[in-house]
Parts: sequence; structure tokens; C-alpha cells
Amino acid sequence: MTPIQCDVAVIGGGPAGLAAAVAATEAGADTLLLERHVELGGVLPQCIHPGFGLKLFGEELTGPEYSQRWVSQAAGIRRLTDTMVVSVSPGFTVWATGPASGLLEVRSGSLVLAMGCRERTRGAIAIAGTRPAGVMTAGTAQRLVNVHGHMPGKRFVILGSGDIGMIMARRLTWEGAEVVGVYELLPHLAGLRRNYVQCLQDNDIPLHLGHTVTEIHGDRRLTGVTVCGVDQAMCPMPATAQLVPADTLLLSVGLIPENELTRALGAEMDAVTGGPVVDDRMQTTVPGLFAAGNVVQVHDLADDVSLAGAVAGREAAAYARDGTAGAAWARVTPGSGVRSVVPQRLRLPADPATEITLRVRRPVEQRCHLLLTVRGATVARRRLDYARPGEMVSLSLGAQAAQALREGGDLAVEVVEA
Amino acid sequence: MSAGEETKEIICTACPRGCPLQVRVLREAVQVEGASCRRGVAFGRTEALDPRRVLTTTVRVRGGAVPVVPVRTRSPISRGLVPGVLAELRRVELLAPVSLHQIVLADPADAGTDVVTAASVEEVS
Repeated sequence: MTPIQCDVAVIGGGPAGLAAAVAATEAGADTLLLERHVELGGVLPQCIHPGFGLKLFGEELTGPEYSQRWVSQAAGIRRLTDTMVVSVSPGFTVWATGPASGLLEVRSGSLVLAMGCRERTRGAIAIAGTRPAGVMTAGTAQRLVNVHGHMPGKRFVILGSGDIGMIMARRLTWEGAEVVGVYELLPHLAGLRRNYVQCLQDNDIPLHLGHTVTEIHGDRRLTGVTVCGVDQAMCPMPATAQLVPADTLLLSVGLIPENELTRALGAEMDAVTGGPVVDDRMQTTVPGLFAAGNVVQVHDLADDVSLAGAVAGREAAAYARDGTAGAAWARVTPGSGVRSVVPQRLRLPADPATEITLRVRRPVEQRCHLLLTVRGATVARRRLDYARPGEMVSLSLGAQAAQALREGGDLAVEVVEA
Repeated sequence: MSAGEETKEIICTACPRGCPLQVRVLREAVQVEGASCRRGVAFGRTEALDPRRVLTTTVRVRGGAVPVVPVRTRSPISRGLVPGVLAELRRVELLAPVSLHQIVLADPADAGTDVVTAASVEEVS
């Protein structure tokens, strides 16, 4: 078996991988795109709702249309679909397998990880009760309805106010089902406000904050769930328990970056984002190994995933060409009020144009400042009218911060009320 | 507040930022506060007088590689027209092959825009 040779191998053909492959090719790299599904696009083909492309194309596209734009841009790029990467080793050697090709060996100069994420399931949040049919993730229901044309139930309860859950609440209502309500454990919305307005408010679907499902009922098929209010420590309060009859429970309770391959290569991981630690060029702590999109951190918008993918692809092409991985980095650490930050490292000398993205720990519904500090001194700030955990925010590093980092020290990011 | 004047609290959905708008409507005069861009002002005005949405759903396909194809209105339509257009689309069945942006319904319910496909579907023989 002759190994397939390429400059840049991209693992995953969703929005991050497509943008990475396009950017790497534009930068002159011989690029190979590997995708486990039979078609490219990742989750986009099942996201038939609008809202994609506002940032990149200046128009409101549906997921399939947004996907199609990238798939046509990637038209000339070598790809293997229906091919799953099973192992990777430094250097890089990629082993992949698929029904048409059998086992394949790929040798690449650099590697872009763009495997995206998986939904958390019932097992991940350990809901008590029986194990009937009719309990599934919101994304599974989305695929059944939008791609396969099957309605998975008639009366739905949705646990979690993530975007896919709210989008499915509208979709199922429009298909004639009854959506009893959306229940959210946290005291605030998990997804985007526009989805709350356009999916729930528009269709009179109630949102119950500070509630969770404590038990699943039913023998062969779900007959109902017990919902319960939670206290400030997020513990269910039994006195508030209530039986809600339903034949289907959808779970929209978060996403887990899919990083088995990343760990196998020994890249340092960030326990909060669930993804690898990356620098401002989307390079992990392994030289020549890049990562972008939801495999690094869960994004709100596909446009941002594509933008990150393009950086990873461009930089992976540069590494494959000249092999320079950088020599020194500053750490970026989440400070007061900040839950997670990406990138977690900045290659020195720091690029002032770097965008620092972050999620806040809890909602700040008033004017506040994002601060960047080096050795205790504020070197950049951005004023926000509010900051919410469900919405990723960003600020530019800027010249003053870049200059301060030349003199040593790490960068801390914090949010303070004005 | 004078007679006929009404203030609506609206969350702007022109972009994911979600600015909280206060929209004062006095007959046809509309005053929008709280927007941080020009699109937000336009959104607040439309949302107070005639809220509009891009409608997306799927319609059945006969003889295709997949059983349904996603469809959309080309531009946003009045929110009140959504149920009627959905009902019309439930009666539609397309014949494969289906091309991208093929017209599915021309100007349904006098909405002022067409419903078109958002993907293509290959024919399966």
C-alpha cells in the first residue's frame, strides 16, 4: 500500500474543515480533506433555518445554502468522503478507513483537526427513570425531520435552552406537533436571544428557567417526564415536582468537542472548553498540529467557525512550507468573571490584530468592561452594554497589549462591571 | 403618553447581538431607541408595524436520493402569513431532480416573495 502524500491533511468536512481546506489550497498547499460522512458540510445540511452567512456573505442563508457555498469553493480540492480517521501519529501519519477505500495511510506535513463536537446525551446528564423509546438529542430529531422527513413524536418536552433545542421547538410546532415547553436548568437562557424571540416567543412556547427533568416515565414508549424547579445550588426541589405527559423528550443540553485524536497526539487540553489549547494561529501545543471550530470551543455561529478554520488552514500551509512553529508564547488566562478564553496562547512577538474570544461566567445585564491586563496593568479594554454566557464576545489585542507582552508576562482577561 | 401612542419592548434580531429596543409607535410615526446600528433601527420599525420572518421548512420529493428538500422564502414575509404558507407547502410534492433555488411556490398568499428550494436533490432511477 502506497501512502497518500500531501502538504496539509484536514480531518472533518464541516464548516471549519471546508474553510481550512480552501485557505490551505489558496496558500499553495497540496491539501487533502477527510470526511467520515458521505457528504460534506457537517451539521449544516440539517440546519434548514436561516441565520447563516450574515457575517461572511452579508446575507441571510439557510444551513444547506451556506454549506453549498463552501462546498463549491472547495470543488477542486482532493477529498475522501465516507472515510473515517481512526488514528494519527506525529509527523504526521493518518490512518483512515471507509467502505470504498479500505484502510488508507496518509502522510502530511501538517494537520488541521476540524472534527467538531457531539451532543451530550441522556447518559451524559444521568436522568433517572425507565429507558423507553422517545428520548433523543435535539440534533437527532433535527436530522430525522429535516433530512429523513420523519416526525419522531406528537407531544414534546425539550430539556435545555440551547440553540438547537429552541430551533427544533419552532420546527416541530410548524410541523403540527405540540411542544409543551422548554425547561432550562440554569437561571438564564443558554442559547442566542434571537432564537428565543423567533422560535419560542413567536410560537407561544413557554420557557421555564431554573427547571430540570428529574425522571423519565414509560415502558416501551415515553409517557411523560417529571419536571422540577431547582434551588440556587441547582438541586431539584421535590415539592415543585410535576408530571408532564409527553411522548418525546428532546435534549439540548450542550455539546462536547470531539477530541479523541487530539489527545492521542499529546496536545495540551483546556479542561473548560473541552478542546485543545491553541495559539493565535490555531496551532496546538504540538508543532504543525492545528485545530479550529467546535473541536476547539463550541461556537455560537457557523460564520465564526469558518473564520477560525481559514486561519488554521492558512497557517497549516505555512508550516508545511517552511516548518516554523514559533519559539516563544505568552499564556492567556481567564480572570475574574471569565469562564473560558481562546486562544489560550499568543505567539511572540504578539500580533496586535489578534482577536481574543471569551465566554463570561454569568450574565452581566448592565454596562461592563472587558479588560486585558499584563503584569497587573490594563493594556486594552472594550465596553459592552451587557455580557451573557450564551453569547461569545471578543476584543482585539491591540498595539499597547502587544508591546507590553514584549517585556514579558502573561495576558489576563477579565470582565468588570462599569 | 398621548392617545394612540404605544411603546413596545423588542429584542432586535437583525443580528445575534440582540439589542433591547424601545419602539414608540404613534400612528405611522415610529421612534426606535436602544439600537446600536442602522439595521437595528430599521428592524425595530418593521418589527413594531409588521414583523417579518424568513420561513423555512421542507417539502416532499418523489424519486429523489432523499425524501425531502429544504425550502425558504426568498425574503422575509409577514409573520401572520406563516401558517397559511406552511399549509400550502404541506400539499406540495416535487419531482426529482430538484435544483437549488428552484421556485416551489410563486408569491404564495400574496406574500410578495417566492418560496424556493435551499438545496438540490439528485434523481434516483
